[in-house]
Amino acid sequence: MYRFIHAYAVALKDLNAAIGLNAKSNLAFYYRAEVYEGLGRKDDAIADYRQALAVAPSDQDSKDALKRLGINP
Amino acid sequence: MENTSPVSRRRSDFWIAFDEEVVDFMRVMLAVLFLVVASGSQALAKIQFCNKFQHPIFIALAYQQNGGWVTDGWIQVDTDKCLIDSNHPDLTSFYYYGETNVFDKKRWTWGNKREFSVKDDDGFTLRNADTQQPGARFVKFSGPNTYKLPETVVQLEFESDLSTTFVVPREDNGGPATAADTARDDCENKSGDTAIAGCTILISNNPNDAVAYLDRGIEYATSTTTIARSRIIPRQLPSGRTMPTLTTVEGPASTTAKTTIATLSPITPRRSISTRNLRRHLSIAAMCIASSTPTRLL
Repeated sequence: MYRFIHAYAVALKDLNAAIGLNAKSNLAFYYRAEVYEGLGRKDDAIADYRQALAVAPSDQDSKDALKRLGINP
Repeated sequence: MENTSPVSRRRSDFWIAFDEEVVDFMRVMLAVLFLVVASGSQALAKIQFCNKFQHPIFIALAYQQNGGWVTDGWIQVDTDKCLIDSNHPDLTSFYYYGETNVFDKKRWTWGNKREFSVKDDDGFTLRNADTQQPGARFVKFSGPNTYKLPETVVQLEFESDLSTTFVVPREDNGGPATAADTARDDCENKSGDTAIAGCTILISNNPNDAVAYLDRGIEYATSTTTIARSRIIPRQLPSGRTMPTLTTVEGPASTTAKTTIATLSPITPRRSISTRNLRRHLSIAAMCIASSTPTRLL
């Protein structure tokens, strides 16, 4: 479990950096959302899935993720 | 006995005159040869700018000269054109700034690293450009783009997805890849620890490498069992690219006259695109189509 949390933490740090350098990367938002989900931060995950969709409205994976979380994309 | 024959004397005068002409001729030839050799050994670096963006781009360069910073511009590169700038043959490192004209009160700019002064005048040159100069505006340049090969053409490409790519030809012209190339390949095309190690090298070389952060972040994220790497891998930013910024310009649209230096042939593909990168490029294209862009209004 610790390994997962550590991996999430370092992933989050890198994805934050990626988004900071390029806020138009839907992939970065998508994966950060997945990390948030893994950390149990559902609201943050929803916000990032939405941001991924804002960047790339045709992003089906983000739409599916929002539906899975009970949110209407 | 001395030969005093008039015939012999004339022959002797002739040869003396001939010898002097030959010597003069040889001197000229040696001088020409020297100049040819000297010019051939001179560093002749050139920068090729290519524009794959939807609007013409105007480029200014910033570089060090005699211990101070100099900026000059503007180099106009029209859409889908390349041009070679031969005005900076001594450079082996430069910062660049690009901008479009104003379209619908919006201007696209490239540059996010270091501020230098630029003027709107065509053909401007500013010294002490790292400080705010009178009548100039302070804008952020990207860079430094550095290369070690003096007699080559380096390429700075402005892409349709608003990013830029800087390409330096390999010194060995197709030989073994450099460590940076290997790291890039590992980061982008491998997975697991190999990819993470490659990305880490890239980030240490360039702390602003968004792609390397993204790739490494994905690798860490997918190293857990809960996040599958099921997601298609196309990334938004190909190697070594930085995103430009879109700024809103207040007031009436301006159209500053800027000069084209020269026009060249289209871009030559550097290397084949892997399937993974092909997907990435398709993703970029899809993103660009999906995202709304302002209507051009000059």
